[in-house]
Amino acid sequence: MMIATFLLLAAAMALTVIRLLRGPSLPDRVVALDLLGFIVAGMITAAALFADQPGLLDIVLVFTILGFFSTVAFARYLEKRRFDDD
Amino acid sequence: MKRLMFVLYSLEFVLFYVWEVMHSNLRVAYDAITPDHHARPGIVAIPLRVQSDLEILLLANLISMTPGTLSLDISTDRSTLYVHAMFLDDPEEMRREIIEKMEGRVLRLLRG
Amino acid sequence: MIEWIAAGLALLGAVLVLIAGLGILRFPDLYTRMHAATKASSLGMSLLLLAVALRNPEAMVWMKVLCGILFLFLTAPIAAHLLGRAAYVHKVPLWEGSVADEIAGNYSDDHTVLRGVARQSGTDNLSNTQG
Repeated sequence: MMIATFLLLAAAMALTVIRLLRGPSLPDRVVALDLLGFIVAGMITAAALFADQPGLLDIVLVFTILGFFSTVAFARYLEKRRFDDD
Repeated sequence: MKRLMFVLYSLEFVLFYVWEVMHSNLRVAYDAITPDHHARPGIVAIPLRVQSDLEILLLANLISMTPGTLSLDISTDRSTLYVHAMFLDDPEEMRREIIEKMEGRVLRLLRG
Repeated sequence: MIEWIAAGLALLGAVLVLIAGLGILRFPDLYTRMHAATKASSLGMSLLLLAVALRNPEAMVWMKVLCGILFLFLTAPIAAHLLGRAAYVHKVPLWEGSVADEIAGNYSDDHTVLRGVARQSGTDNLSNTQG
């Protein structure tokens, strides 16, 4: 069970990293980065479950909050930067 | 009596929300796993009856979390919500469905 | 018993996160990719969190888990909206198989005003087409 869960999450991470590297546009990479944050949070959650360490949940909460704010920041940045390039 | 109805509607809303979230996941999963694309995506404009911040937030959230629809942006005068749909066979049909199923529920919940 | 249910939930959550990964890799354009990334990953994370709460049924753990789930479901649509809007303004193209784009032409030139297409009573479409 534990190994299967971590393998599935690792596979998801690999797929997301491929999209992160491939792009093609910057927003695509931001979506991939956002999902990558979720996957890492999911891995920590799985660790909390299987290692019986519910204290790790605090890290998960901080991670999700940080992920959300970084996505918001990226979106604002993309909107501001639109006239300069491409 | 009114309060009781509010509680009932809230319960129904939460159940509907959970059901729609699961349904949407199954649909996305099906499309992600099967080898060919079934998607017929597109952006539709939904004319809104809801007015206040809370109503719009609830509706946009509901739309984003339900099968095949994602709220993209709202017009500056708050009259229109632009929605990206993944299985868009007929824009009129999609508009009618969102207005009846989702906006109707939000209005019933918040205005009684 | 409860351990097996928790492990099953965690496995299901991991499957959903994997589906989000598959979707983000395989779907044809940014907007369809966002469908997969927002929906599947929020539900997958929620299931993983719920599994922890089932395994450790303490008030504090349940509270953290429920707060986390509420936060996920409140913020995922907001992030999707901001990113989708930024991408559209940035002229990220829709997939060529798209069937409609009713937002086209409704942004003002500097993208600060988005016109509506209201048809309901009271608000006349033509009265607010400035910009």
